[in-house]
Amino acid sequence: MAKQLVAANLVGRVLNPRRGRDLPPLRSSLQVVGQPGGILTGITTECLTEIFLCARDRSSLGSRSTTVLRLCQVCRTWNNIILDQPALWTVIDMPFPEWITNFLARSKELPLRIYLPEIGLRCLDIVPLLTPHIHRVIMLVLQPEFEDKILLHLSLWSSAAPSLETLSLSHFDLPKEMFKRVKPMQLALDRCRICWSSTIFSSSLTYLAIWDPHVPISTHRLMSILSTLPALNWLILVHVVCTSTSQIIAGQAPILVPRVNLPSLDNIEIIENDSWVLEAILAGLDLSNVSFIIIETGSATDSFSRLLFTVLASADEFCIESLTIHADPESSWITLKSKSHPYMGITWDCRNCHKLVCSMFKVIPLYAIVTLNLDYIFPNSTSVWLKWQFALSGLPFLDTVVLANGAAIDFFSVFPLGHAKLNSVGHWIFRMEPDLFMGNTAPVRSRIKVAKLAGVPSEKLYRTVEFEGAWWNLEEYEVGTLEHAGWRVIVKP
Amino acid sequence: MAAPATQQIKIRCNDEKEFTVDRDVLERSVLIKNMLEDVTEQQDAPIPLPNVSGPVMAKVLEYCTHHRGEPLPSADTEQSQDETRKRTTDISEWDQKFITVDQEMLFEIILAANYLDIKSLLDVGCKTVANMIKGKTPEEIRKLFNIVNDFTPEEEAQIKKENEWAEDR
Repeated sequence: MAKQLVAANLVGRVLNPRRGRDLPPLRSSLQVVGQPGGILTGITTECLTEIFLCARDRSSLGSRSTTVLRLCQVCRTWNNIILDQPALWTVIDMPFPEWITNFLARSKELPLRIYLPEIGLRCLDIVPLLTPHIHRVIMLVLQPEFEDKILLHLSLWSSAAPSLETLSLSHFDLPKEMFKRVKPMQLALDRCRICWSSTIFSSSLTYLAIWDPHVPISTHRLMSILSTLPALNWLILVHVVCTSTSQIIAGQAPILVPRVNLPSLDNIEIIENDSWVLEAILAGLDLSNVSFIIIETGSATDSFSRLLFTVLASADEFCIESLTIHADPESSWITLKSKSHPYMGITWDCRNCHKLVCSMFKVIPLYAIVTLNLDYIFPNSTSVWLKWQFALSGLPFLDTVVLANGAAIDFFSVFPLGHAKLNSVGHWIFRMEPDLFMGNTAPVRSRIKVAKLAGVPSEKLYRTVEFEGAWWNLEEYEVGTLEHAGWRVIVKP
Repeated sequence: MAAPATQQIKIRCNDEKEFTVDRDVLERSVLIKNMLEDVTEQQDAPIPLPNVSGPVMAKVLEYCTHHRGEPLPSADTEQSQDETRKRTTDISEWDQKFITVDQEMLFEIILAANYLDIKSLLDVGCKTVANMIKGKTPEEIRKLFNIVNDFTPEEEAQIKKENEWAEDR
């Protein structure tokens, strides 16, 4: 230690003016821990604490408390350091009352994150322990039981949790008066009986997730609530049962709802809702600033799809860069990514993939697509491919085509490459799941004529064809023809 | 008009190894930045860095050169950032490659980053060690870092008993 501090003094007159300010922290940082031995000898307490904090926070929620406890068991030095650092005891994510008491005491007065989604019946013991500390809780994830005793404690929390930033409750009655002074920024309610007039839907909300609320809400009311959340950045609605006096019957025109402009809205996930509800919500929200949309519905109607496409097409800067179509019969989806917004994406489930694709090509500006990914597509008629050919021909910037699984098998058997305008494509990538390769599609395999690519006119000086997977038999696909034509062939195991 | 020449600074490590480095690269180190701000006249003598060896300093300079020009975290921004989020942020690809070194060098880099006060490098080092620790049992961690278990048998039995439930998770 003395040697290190003398060394610092060698800097002499450079350090002198700042000696008073710099030396105390320098001395502190030079304070080495005891000698746990091994490679860690000489590492300061400060560094070790930061390593421990990283190890805790890089563990998933639900195992952070146990990470800290395991580190305590390594050696006496680590144990002493950890016990002495309140910051390491501020995440409580295990439902054991005896240890929660220890964590609460050792964290001193630092802000707390409580994550107890599977608390079950233990809530009767745990909630009373948390009550005296609720003033310093900044995150609360809880699935309490419906017990009067607990409700009493939670009522106390409603006026005593000024620091609460994140509140996530499951299976919980949320009466109007509950949490009336709490203004969380992030709110997640899973299968809760929600009082929709609760003040918890405050203007400070940036994240709102509602799963399966037990109290129905009309589309108009839902939109009205959303209109009071100007800071909302992320909206998740899963199976939100909407009722309305003007509820429509399938096939009728969409409900007209007040237009809501949420300038900060960036991410939307609307999952497993009736398609007419989706239509109403999407029609009511201004999506021009949204950079990520996930829509999942097994019953996407044509009118819904048209509406979605129209909404997207109207967004000023929406410019699709990447298109992925996955048409596995068990789950189909289409993903779009935008060039103007790097994280822009739209994913939705669909049943009639080919029909949707044809609608989409008519409405959405897809001319800027750079990457096209076709996965698990087994078209049952050549006419479908002909429609696709028509669509693909209008993509002047298309550079990379990924053909995976079914698409890799069928594309060359029916796609009339000679007539396609694919001259901008420089990279072809083939990918296949091993089970598909080794399974009953083997007779089809021989029909894959990758060599046909050589006949496609190209404006590219360099073209590559890439095979992912070790099971591709390059000789069988006459890849040599491509190599002779100057193509670069890449094989990735 | 020619661009003004970048000021070059000499540093000397504890093994007498000397480096001449652009000032803006060296100023990634808050310690050195503060030193240089206190010196008004031209310095010819190298700045002694008695806690860092030549090979370690070469690695540190590689990092500082790659990240030159990036904004330094100020005390205010550090406080305003969510620390938990910062710790969970992934290490960038370049940093990952950079920090792929043997354990001895890794800890030397952490010590040097701490001494030189290069917060971003310290973060990369700490996250890397944290990734090595994550998910491991106490015994595996001891083995990994060659740490001696200095608990008495009684202490160990007591701790194990207290944490019995944690062992199963």
